[in-house]
Amino acid sequence: MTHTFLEEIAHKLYADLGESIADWQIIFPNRRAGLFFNRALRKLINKPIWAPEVMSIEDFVKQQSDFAVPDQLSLVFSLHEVFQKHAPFKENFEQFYFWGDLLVKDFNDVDHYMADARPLFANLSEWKQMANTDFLLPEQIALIERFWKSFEAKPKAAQEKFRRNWDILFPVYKDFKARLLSENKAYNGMLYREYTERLKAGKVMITGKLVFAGFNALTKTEEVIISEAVKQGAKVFWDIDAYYAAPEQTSQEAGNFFREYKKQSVLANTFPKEMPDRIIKESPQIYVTEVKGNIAQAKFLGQLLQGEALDLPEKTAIILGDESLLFPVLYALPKEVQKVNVTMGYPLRFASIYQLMHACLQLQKNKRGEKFQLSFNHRDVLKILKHPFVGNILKEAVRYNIDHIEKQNMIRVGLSDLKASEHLLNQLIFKDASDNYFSYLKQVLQYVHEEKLEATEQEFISEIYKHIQQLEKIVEQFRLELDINAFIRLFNRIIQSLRVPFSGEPLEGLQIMGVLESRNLDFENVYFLSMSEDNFPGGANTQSFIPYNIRKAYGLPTLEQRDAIYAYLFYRLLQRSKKLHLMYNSDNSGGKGGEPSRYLLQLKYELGVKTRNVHQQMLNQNPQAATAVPILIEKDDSIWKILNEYCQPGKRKLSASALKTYFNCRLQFYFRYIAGLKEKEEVSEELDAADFGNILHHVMEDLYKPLLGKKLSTDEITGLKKNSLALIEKEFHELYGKEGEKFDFEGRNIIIRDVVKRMVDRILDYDARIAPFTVLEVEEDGKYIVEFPLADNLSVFLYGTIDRLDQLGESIRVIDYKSGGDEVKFPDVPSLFDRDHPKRNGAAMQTLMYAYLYLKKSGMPEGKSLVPGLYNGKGLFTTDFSEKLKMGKDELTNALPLMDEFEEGLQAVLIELFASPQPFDQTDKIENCQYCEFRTICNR
Amino acid sequence: MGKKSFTVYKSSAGSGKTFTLTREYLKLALISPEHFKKILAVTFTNKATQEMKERIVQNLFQFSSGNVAGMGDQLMALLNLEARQLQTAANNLLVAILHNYSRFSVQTIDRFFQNVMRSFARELSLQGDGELLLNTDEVRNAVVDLLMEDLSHNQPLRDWLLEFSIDKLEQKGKWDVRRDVISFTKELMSDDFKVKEKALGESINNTEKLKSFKSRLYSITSQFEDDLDEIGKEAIRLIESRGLTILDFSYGASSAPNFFNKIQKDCRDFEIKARVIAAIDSGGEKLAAKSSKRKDEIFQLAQDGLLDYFQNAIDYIEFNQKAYISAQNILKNIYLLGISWHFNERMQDYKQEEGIQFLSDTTQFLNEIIGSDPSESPFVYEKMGSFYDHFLMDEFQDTSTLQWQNFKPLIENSLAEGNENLVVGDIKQSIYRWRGGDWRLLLKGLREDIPSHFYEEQSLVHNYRSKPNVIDFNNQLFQQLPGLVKEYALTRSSNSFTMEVENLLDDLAMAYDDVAQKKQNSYPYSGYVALRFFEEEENEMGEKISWREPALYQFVQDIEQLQDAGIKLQDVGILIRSKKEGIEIQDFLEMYQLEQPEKARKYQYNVISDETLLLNSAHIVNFLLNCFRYLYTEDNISLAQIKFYYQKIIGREDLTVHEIVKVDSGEMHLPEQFIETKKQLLSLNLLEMSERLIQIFQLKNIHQEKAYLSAFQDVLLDFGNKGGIPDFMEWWEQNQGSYAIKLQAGENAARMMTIHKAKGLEFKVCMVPLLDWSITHHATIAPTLWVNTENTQFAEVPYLPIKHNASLKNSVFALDYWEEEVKSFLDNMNLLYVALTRAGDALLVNTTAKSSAQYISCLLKKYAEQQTDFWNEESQSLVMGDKADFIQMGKEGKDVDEADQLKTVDLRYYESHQWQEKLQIKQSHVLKVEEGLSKTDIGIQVHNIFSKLNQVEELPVLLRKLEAEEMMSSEDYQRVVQLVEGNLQKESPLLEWFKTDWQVKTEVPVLLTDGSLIRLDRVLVKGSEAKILDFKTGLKDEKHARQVRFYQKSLKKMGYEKVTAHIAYLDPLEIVEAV
Ligand code: SF4
Repeated sequence: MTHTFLEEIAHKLYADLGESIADWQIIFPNRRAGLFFNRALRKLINKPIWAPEVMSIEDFVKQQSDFAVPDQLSLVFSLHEVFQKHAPFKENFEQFYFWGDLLVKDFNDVDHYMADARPLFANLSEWKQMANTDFLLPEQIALIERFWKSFEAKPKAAQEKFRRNWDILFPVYKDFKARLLSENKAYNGMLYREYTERLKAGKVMITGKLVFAGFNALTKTEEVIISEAVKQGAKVFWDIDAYYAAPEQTSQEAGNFFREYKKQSVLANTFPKEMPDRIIKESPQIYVTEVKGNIAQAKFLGQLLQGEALDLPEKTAIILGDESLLFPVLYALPKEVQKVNVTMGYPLRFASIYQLMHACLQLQKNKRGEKFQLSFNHRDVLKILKHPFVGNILKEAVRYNIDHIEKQNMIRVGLSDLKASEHLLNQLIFKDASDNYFSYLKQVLQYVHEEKLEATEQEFISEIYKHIQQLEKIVEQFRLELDINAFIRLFNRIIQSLRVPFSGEPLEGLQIMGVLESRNLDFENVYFLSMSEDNFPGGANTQSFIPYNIRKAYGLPTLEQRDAIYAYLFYRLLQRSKKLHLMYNSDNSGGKGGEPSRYLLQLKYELGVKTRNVHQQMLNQNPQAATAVPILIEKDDSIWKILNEYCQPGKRKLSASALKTYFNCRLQFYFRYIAGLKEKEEVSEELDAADFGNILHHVMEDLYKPLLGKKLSTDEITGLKKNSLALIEKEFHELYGKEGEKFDFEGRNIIIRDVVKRMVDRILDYDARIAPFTVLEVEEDGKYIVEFPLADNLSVFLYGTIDRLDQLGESIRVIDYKSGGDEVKFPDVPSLFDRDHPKRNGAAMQTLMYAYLYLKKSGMPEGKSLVPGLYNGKGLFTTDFSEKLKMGKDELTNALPLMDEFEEGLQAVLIELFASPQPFDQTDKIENCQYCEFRTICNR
Repeated sequence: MGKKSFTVYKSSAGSGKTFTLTREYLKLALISPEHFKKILAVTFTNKATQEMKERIVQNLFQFSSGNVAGMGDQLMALLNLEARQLQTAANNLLVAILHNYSRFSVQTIDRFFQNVMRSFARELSLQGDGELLLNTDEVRNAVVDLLMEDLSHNQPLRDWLLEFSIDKLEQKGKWDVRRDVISFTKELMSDDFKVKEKALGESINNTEKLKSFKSRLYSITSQFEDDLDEIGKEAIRLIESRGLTILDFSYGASSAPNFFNKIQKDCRDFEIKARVIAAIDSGGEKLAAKSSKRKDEIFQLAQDGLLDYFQNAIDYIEFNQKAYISAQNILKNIYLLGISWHFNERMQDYKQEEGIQFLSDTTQFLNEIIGSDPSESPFVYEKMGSFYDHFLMDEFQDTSTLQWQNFKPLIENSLAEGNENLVVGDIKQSIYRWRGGDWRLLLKGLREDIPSHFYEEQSLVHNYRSKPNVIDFNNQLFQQLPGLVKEYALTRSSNSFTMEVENLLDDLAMAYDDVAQKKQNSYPYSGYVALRFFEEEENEMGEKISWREPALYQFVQDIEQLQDAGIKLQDVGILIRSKKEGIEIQDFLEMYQLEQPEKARKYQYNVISDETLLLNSAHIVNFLLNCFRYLYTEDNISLAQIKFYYQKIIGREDLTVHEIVKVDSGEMHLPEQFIETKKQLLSLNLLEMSERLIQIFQLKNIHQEKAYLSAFQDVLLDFGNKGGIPDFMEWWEQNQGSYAIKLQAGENAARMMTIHKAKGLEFKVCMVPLLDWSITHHATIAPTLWVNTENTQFAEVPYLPIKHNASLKNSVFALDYWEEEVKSFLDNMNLLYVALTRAGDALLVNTTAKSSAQYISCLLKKYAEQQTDFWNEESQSLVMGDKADFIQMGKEGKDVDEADQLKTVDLRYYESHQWQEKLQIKQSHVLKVEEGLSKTDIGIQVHNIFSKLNQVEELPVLLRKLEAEEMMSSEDYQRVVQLVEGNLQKESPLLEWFKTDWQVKTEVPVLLTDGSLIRLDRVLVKGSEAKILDFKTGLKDEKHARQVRFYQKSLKKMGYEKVTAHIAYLDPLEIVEAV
C-alpha cells in the first residue's frame, strides 16, 4: 500500500540520516502525530536506537522560553482584574468569563500575527491623528477607513456601546501583558511573539537540527520561526496534493496557505519540485450516502463494517463530525470488531454526571431555612432522586422517597421526609452547602466515583472533579466571592465548554476520532459520519472584540482562514485512502441543518465530474405505516370461569362503571375486569381528575351526613357554606397530609382547593334554591346489590353506590356528582345501550342505573316520582343549571316510566356479556381509545 | 427610466416563483464571480433555503456544462451575454460559490437575525454564549411551575388563576388549567404581543389599579343588570296586579311580555325580539290574540304603563348595551392580564438566571440595534463581517411586522446606494398568520414604506403548473369567491356595519385582485376538474349516514379509475385539513380493503404521510416506552404490552392472548436476561437502555419497523442525559405528536398531507376527499385578541385580552372583531386557494351540499350552481374536462426523472453489541481526595525537575515554571523546592552526575524494535561508554533495578560496549548501582 505521510517522512529521514536521526528534533503541529511517527520509524530499525525528539511546535517554543504559561482560566481571572481597572462599568467575573476568554483569544491573535497593537486598537480620533501609516498598505488603510466611516454620521446607541469597550482595549492589552511579564508569565501568543522577536533581532539563534512536518496554516510567528530555522538548515515536509495546492488551483481554498508560502523567499525552497498528484491519479472510491437520522448512520456504518475484512483494523478510521454519535457508533460496531480506540474530545455537558452536579446546585439554590428547618423544592429533590446514579446507589429508598413525595403532592421537602436520610450519599447531597460549594460537589463526586461505574463514566467524573478542583484553587487565589447564582453560572459556563479528552491505546484497533484528531494521519478506509454543513466545517464562530475589517487589515485570521483550514483537513483524507464512505443526516426538521457539507457538493460538481469515482446514494430504511394487530379475545374456559363469578352470590359484582366500560369497548372491559390489569397509581406531579372527584364527593358527603332525614330549608343549606372550606381542607389532609401535622397548602393545591370550594358552594347555592328537601342517604356503600335474572338458572349481581338520595316534594332524587365534563342530555333509552350510537351518554346510563338499582332495592311508594340527577361540573356554573337529565328535548321529571325499557336494554347487554360467545373485541370508535390506559397494547 | 430597484413579485400559485427568484439571484450574482457575497436571500424554512441553494448551484452547473436552455436564455437576454460568455461566467461563479460557501448567503430569516444578534451580543449586554432556544415550551413549563409555587404568597395571581380554572370548568368541564396557562403563555412570546408588552407594562403591574379597574367593570355590568332586573320585575308586578299572567298574552309563554322575565337577573337575555317591537308599534294591539277573552284588559294595561315599560327597557338597552357587552367581555378574560404580567416577570428572571435567550427574542433585540435609521446599516455589516448590497426575500406574505421593521433600514440603505432588491410573495398563499405572518405588508405596507420612485410591482401572470381546465376553474372560482364571502358577511344576522367594516371587507377583493392567471400557448391535453357535493343519507335501516361516507366511496373509486388509466399512485397527492381527517381516511381505506378483497387484489391503496408515520403509532416505539415504564414503575399494563409484543410480534408464538396478558402470569413469557438485568438497566441512560433492550429482545430481527426504531433512538439521543425515565416519559407525553418518520421519495404510494404542509408542492393529480371547513372561528377555539382601548371608556389599560366572539359586534370593540373576522375569512380562503392550486393535471374535490352559511362548502355550492355550463344538477357536481384525459396523464408519468434519482441502499443491519470490552480508555486522572498534594505527587514533581535538568544552572527557571503552571499551593511548592535543592547541596553525590565532561542526555527517548519507546531520565555518554541514571522518589524496590537493567541491556544492543546503570533515590538521597 501507499505509505502514510508519517511513514514517508520516517523513511526519508532514516534513509538520509541513519542513526544520526537522534540528533534531530522533529516538530509536528500536535503531539499525536509524534506517536504515529515513532510507530513508522520502528518498522525501519532492527536494534534499539536513540530516538529523535518528537514534539509539537508549542512544546518547542515553550522550551525556548523562560515564560510560564498559566492555564486559560487563570488568564481570564487576571484579565478580569485588569479590565475592571479600565472599564467604566462593573462586571462580575461570571459575567465577564465568556468575554474574557474571547479577549484572551483576541490578544493571542494580535501577538501570534505580530500586529502592532497601538494603531490596531486606535479609536476614530486617534486614527485620524495618526501621522504615520506607512506600515500599512493602501488596501489595509482602505479597510480601516471603511470601518471608521460608519462612525462618522451622528453617533448612534450601538456605536456608543461599541466604543465603551473598544476604547479601553489598548490600555487593557498593555497592562495585562505588563502584569504577566512582571510575574514572568505569558499567554501563548505572547510567548511566541517574544521568542520570535528575539529571533528576528538576532538575540537568539536556532541551534538544533530541526524538522518541521505536516504544517498547514501557520501563524505569523510560526512562519518566522520556521523560516529562521530553515535558514539554519531545518528541513520542512509539507503534506500536500496538486489537486488543491498546485499554483493554478487558486480556487481550492485548501491550498491557499501553501501557495502563499511558496511565494516566500525562504519557505519557497522547502517545497518539493514535483507535487504529488494522488487525488486525481490514485483517486479513491468515494461513497456519499444521504441518511435520514443519526442512529441510522451508526447502524449503516455497522452494516458496512460487517462486509469488510477487518484484519488490519488500524487502517480504518471512523471520523465523527458530531461527537454525540460516539456511543451509538460503539453500540453499532459488528461483533467481529475486537478492539477500538477512541481519540476525541467528548463534551462534558453530555455526561450524566454533569446533570447530577447541576441538579445538586439547583437544590442548593432553592433551599430554604437552616439546619433542622432545612427544606428543598420538590422538583429539585425529585430530579436528584430520579438520576440513574443516585437510584442505583440508594436503590429502594429512592423509589420510596419518590412515591412519598409525589403521592403527598409535597411542595417543600424537609430532611425528615426522606427515608434513608442517614445514608451517606443522602447526607452528602441533602444538606446546606453554602459554606463551600466546591467541597460539596467534590464529596458527591468522590462518593459516586467509589461506586466503580463503567470506564467512560469514571473518566467523566474524574474530569469534572479535576476542573472543580482547579476552579476552586483559582477562586481561592483570586479571593473571589461567589454567591450561589454566580457560582452556578460560572460552573455551567466552564463545564459546558469542556471536552473530555478520550484517548486509548492509539496504535491498536479500529480508530474512532473527531475531525481534528485525523490531522497528519492517513487511513486506507475512512468512514465519515455526520458530514453536514452544520458539523463540518460547522458554524463559524466569528465573535471577536476586533471587527472584521480591522482584523483583515492587520492580517489577523478571519472566517476565510478557518474555512481554508477545514478544507485542507478534508482533502487530506483523500490523498492516501482507498475508500471513503461519507454520510450525512438529511433530516432538516426541528430547525437543524440537514444540508450536506460543502465538501460533498465540491466532490459532486468537481472531483466527481473528473473521475467518476464519487458515488451518490441514499439509505432506504423502508418506512411503512405500522399496521395494527387486531386483538380479539375469545371466551375460553379460563375466561368463562371468571365471568361465572359474577353470577354467584358473594363473589364478583358488576358495577355501573364496569358496564360503562363495557359499552365503551369490550376489550377494555376485558383488560380491566377479566385480565385484571390496572394502572399503577399515577405517580405524577399533578393531582388527577380522580382525586379531585374524590374530594368533592367526600366533602358533599360530610356536609349532608349529619343532616340525614331532616327537612332542610334554604337558610340551613346556605349556612353549610361556611363549613365547606374546613371540610375541604380536612379532606386534603386525609388524602395527602401527615398524621398530627398541619397540612400546608402550597402551589397548585391552593387552586384545587379553591376550585373545589367554588364547586361545593355552587352546589349548595343550587340546593338552597330548590330547598326545602330531605336528604335520605349519602354514599350508602354496599346497599344496592341487585340480583338480575338473565335466564332460567342464571342471574348476575349488579351494584352501585348512590352519591346522594333525597326527597324533594313528591320526588325521590338519585343524585350523582360529576366533576368533569359529562352532559345531561341523551336522545332516548335505546341509545344508552347502543354502543355505536353517536350520542350515547355513559354518565346518563350510569345515573339511570342507580335509579334502577334503587327501584329494585327499595321499591317506590305510590304517587312519588323517581328523578335521577347529575350535578356536573360543566353545567354547574351556567346560569340555567338544572341537574335533571334531558331526554331529547325534555327534562326527565320522572324516570319510572322508562324503567321497563331500561331493564330490557340492560338485559340485552348482560346476556351478551354473560351468556353469549361474543368475544372481547376492540371498539370501532378510535376516539374511545384516546384516553384508554391500554392503548399501547392495542397500539391505537 | 429603467427598471425600478425595488421589485415586488406577486407570485400566484404555479407561477414559477422559485424559478424567478433563482433567475433574479443569478442575474445579480453573474455580474462578477465575487458579487454573490453581496447578496442576501432570505427564506422562512431550512428546507426552502436548501432547495434554493441547490437550485442555484444546479443551474450554474448546467450553464457551465453548456446547457443554457430555459433560464439560461432569459439570463443571456437580461445580461446581454452570448452563450459562451454565460457558460464561462457560470462556471466561474459556481467555483466561487463552492469554495466560498460560507459567503453564500441564502439563509433563513432567523439565521440571519441570529448572526446579527451574535455580533452585537456584547453591545446588547447579552452573554455571548447564551443558549438560543428555538422552542419555548420547556422554559414556559418551568416558569409556570415556579409561578405555581408562588401561589401561597401571591394572592393576586391566585385569584387570577382561580378565575381561569372556573372559566375552563364552565367551558370544557375540566378545571386543571396548568396546561392552558402554558399554552396561553405561548402567545405572550409572540412578536405580536411583544409590541404591546411595553405599553402594557405600567398599567398592569399594579394589582390595586387592576382590581379597581375590575370593580369598575363589575359596576357597569351589575348596574345594567340591576336596572333591567328592576324594570322587568316592576312590569311583571304590574301585569300580575291586574290578575294577568304571561300566558294570557298572545303566544303565551313566549309572548312579548316574556321579555320582562328574560331581562331579569336569572335570565339576562337582552335580545329585543320582533314581537316586542310589534307590540310597541301596534300601540299594544298585538299584545293580545284576537280571540283572547281578556283582550280589553290587556289593552288597558298597555296604555296604563306596560308600553312605557317596553319603551323604557328598550331605550335603556340600546343606550347602555355597548358598554355592558364590552365590560362583560373584558371581565371574562381579565385574569389573562393578571397572569401575563406575573408570568413575564418570572420569565425575565428565569432567562437572566439561566443565561438563555429565545429565538423569538432576536427580532426585538435587533430592533434595538438596527433601529430605524438606514445610515446605521454599514455599522451592522461591519460588526457582522458580511456586507450586503442586495436583499431578496421569499414568501414575503409570511413576514411579521417586526421582522420587516428590521429589514427596512437595511433595504433603504441599499436602495439609497442604487442597488436592486426584491421580494416575492403571494397574499393568497398566506396561511401562516398564526406564526406571525402579516400579509398586510404585502397588500399595503410595502408600498407605504418604500418610496415610490423605487417601488415596482410585477405579477408573474403565467401558470406553469396546471392544465387549462384547472387554471380556468381556479381563475373563475377565486375571482368570485371574495364577492361571495363579502355577501355572506353582509347578510349575516344582527350585523351592524360601518364604513370601516366595509373597507376591511374590501381587502379580500384586493388580495385576490391578481388571481386570474394566463395559460401557456399549447397543451397536450386539457386536464380535469371535478367538484362534487354529497349529502347526508339514510340507509335501509333509517340510520343517518354522514356525507363523508359517500364522499369517501367516491374517493376510492377515483383512485381505482386513476390506476385503470395507468396513473401511478406516487403522482397523487391527497390533501387533508387535519391529522384527524387523515386517520379517518386511512381507516376507511383499511376497512374498504377488508370489505372488497377482490378489489384489494387488483388495486393499490397505499397512502403514506408524515401524519400517519408518527413514531407513537409504531408497536416498537410503544414497546420501548413500556419497557422504560415497566422498569421504572413495575406497572402491569406495561408489562402486559411487553409480553404481548415479545410473544406475538417478535416471536409469533401461539399462546392465547389471555394467557400472556393476564395479571397472574407476571413476568412469565419474558426473556430471562431481561428479568435478571432489570436493576442494571435502570442505571443507564435512555439511549443505552434502548441498545440493551435491542440486544435482549433480539430486535435486530424485526423487519417492519426499523425506520421507527432508528427515528425513536434519534429522539433518545437528542434527549441525552436531560433526565431519567420519568422525565423522558413526561416530556414524550407532551411532544410525541411532533415526531414522525420523514418521507422518502420514490415509493409507490399516494402522499397525504395537510394543506399547510402542501404549500409550495405540486401533484399531478390532487385529491381533496373531504373538503370542508368554516371560514370563521369556532367558538371553542377562538383566538384571544389584544384589543387597543384608545378612545374607549376602558383606556386605563392600553390593551385588553378579549376572546373573539360574535357578541363583540355590539361592543366598542366591534372593529377589532371585524378585523379578526376578515383575517379569518382570508386565512380560510387562502387555505382553499392553496388546496385547489396544487394540481397539475387533475383536481378531484369532494365536499358537502348542505352546511351552514359560514362553511366553505356552502360558498362553493353557491358558486358551482352559477356555472351553468359545467354544473350538473342531478349528479350535484361541477365537472370540467374529460376523464379520457386520464390515459394521457398516465403515459406522461414521472419516468423522465428516474435517471436523476438517487441510487438507494437498504438498511439491513440493526445490531447492537456491548463495546465496553473492546475499548481501553486511558484513565487520565485519579481523584485526589486529600487537600494538597500527596507525597507521591510531590515526588512526581521532584522527579520531573530532575529528569528535565540538564545543568544545575537551569534550576531556577524550571522551578519557576513549575510554580506558575502546575497550580500548586505554596506549601506544596516549598516542599518540592526543599527536596530538590536539598539533593543538590554541596557534597551531594548527585553533583558528579551534573558536573561532567561527558555528553549529557536528559529524558532521552530510545526506540525499541517492538515499537515501544522508553525514556531514560539521564544518560552520560562518552565514546562507546554510557552511564544511566534513573530518578526515583518512592521507596526502594527490586522492580526499579530490573527496569534499569533493561535500559542497560537496550543500550548494549544499540552498540555501547560499557554501560552502567544507577538509580538515584531522592528521598532520602541514595545512589545505588543496579547489577
Ligand atoms: S385502546 Fe381502544 S380498543 Fe384498545 S382497549 Fe382501549 S378502548 Fe379498547
